[in-house]
Amino acid sequence: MKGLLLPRALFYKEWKSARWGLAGLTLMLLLSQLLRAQRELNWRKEWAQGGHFVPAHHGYWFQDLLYNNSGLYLFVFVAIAALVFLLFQQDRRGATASWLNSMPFTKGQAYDVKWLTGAGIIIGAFLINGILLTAFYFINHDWMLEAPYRVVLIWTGLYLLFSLALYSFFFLVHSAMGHSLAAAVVGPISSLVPAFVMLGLRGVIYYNTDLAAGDAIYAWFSRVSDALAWPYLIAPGYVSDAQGRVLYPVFDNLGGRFLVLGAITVASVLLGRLLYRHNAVEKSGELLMVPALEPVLIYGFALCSGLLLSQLFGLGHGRDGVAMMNTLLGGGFIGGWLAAKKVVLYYRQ
Amino acid sequence: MKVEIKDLNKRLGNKEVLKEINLCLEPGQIFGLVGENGAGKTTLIKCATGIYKPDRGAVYIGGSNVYDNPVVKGKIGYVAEENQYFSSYRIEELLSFYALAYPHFSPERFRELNRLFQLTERTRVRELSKGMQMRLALMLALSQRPQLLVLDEPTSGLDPLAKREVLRLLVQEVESRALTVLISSHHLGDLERICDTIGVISRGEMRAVHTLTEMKVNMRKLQLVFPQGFPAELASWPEVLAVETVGRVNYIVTKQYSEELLGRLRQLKPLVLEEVSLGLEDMFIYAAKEGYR
Repeated sequence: MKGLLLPRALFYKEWKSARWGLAGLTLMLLLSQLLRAQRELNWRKEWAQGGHFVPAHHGYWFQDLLYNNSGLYLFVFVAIAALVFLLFQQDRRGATASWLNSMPFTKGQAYDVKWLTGAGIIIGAFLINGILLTAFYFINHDWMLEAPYRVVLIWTGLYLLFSLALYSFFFLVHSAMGHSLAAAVVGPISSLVPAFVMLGLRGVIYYNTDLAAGDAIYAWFSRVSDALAWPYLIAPGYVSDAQGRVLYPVFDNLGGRFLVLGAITVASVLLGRLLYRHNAVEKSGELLMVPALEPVLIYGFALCSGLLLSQLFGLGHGRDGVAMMNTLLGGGFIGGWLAAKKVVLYYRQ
Repeated sequence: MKVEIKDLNKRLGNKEVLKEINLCLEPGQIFGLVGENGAGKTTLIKCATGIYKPDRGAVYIGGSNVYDNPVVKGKIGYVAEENQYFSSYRIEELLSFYALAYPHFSPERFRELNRLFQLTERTRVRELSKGMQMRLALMLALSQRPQLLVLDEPTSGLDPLAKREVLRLLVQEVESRALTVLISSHHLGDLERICDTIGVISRGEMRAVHTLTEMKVNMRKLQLVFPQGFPAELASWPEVLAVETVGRVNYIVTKQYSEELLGRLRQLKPLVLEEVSLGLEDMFIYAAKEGYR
């Protein structure tokens, strides 16, 4: 406490809980970007020394390497989920939760410091990676060819904001749940749910009606599903030449992407804070800290179970298998509802 | 520091754990809380330390509501029955954490106390036995220089020597700086040694609050033998708390002993009328069972 707005003791605690997250995230970024770039550059140098022909569009190799890294999305996803778990896991154990809540911190302070520590770790990891990429860029400037320096800034800025948005969303889920391991599973899954539900509903409507793939409703579902999918926010577009050959990737509509990611971050942080401040300590260890969210979890899980079953085992039969698809949808919904209800009750006991 | 608990109600799940609790602790008072398992002692303590938010009513410490109030919580030392610290922390790291968290925490005081308990600061919390963790918790709480000390079963897991040392320390702290203590324990002998007031809680209700002196004066156990059997009307006398019969011998436990009561008993011409010793433990059992107020 000691007169500070945010207690230093909480920073001390959170840093001790999550400091390995900084090492892990930094290492992951360096391995997946800097090390890849170094390997690619070495290969290019050897290739050029051998007198081999390098096609013109390879002038964008660095940009291509930075922007086209779909595997990194998965790593970021897992690393951020692990970071949030590290931040929350101790606080959700019953006796520890009681002890911490007896200490001179408000719930709002606890939330703010926790979020800031995690955000600081993410920013730190991207900053280290950005500085090293900058050094790499200028040291090997002659080999960067067509790629301007701003690609480093754009990539770092976009992925950083993406990571912060994802982090804040997982943070929101943890703030609403009393069991950190369950939250670590539910958070990532629930981030995929909106896009999955839209795709599933599109399939169900398509097979139950005379809808054609080119119809406006079908296209609307596809567009909304894309817009709700996290990877879509960091997926690059491509610039082609007059012959239609792909030249290099770009992050088009950068302002829009930043705006959406910023909005997700702010909304998640504010909603998470509201929920966290109303967390009742006695619910630590239960599935949900907020009883009002029980129907959301139960019906959400039921809907997803139904859609998943109908998509996995029903779609393959096409329009001839609509009855089977609908049966699986209904059965999956009821089964999912019963299972979710049982799990919620189990954790409540 | 004065503690006022007003109309406190708390529900956990479907169970109403605390019902309309009203209590006042004056500065320098050592208040012992007793009651059977599940009576609501720990819940009351958790409300008093601002861990649980009351459903109704409030706990005021030094005139301010304790819930989500870091200024008030900075003046409370809390020791729980169960180990609660981060198990991976070394003791020295816990000291750093406490020094940052509590405005009056004194590492020097901790080291002074540790001369008695001999814990190595490089040891991790998970390497400590239950008794050692309890010593650590007590030392940390006392080193905060709290104005209110709340202890939930603090002597559980302590060997007799350590227990005696802890109780001695508590009394010393109270004497030296008017510390208020709220202590819950099943070890009634411990409470008898240090408490000045006892509260009996049962099924979420505060059944009785009395000073120990008051209880010892008012609660007496008398052995009686009557030639014609036990007079039935005696059980309904307002001074009588409980009646027990073993063969021809009857025992009554009083809730308001007086010479006048003794005189009335003598008028019934008992063959035997003598006082038998009533330990504190028995007093609590009768108080809890019979609704002594």
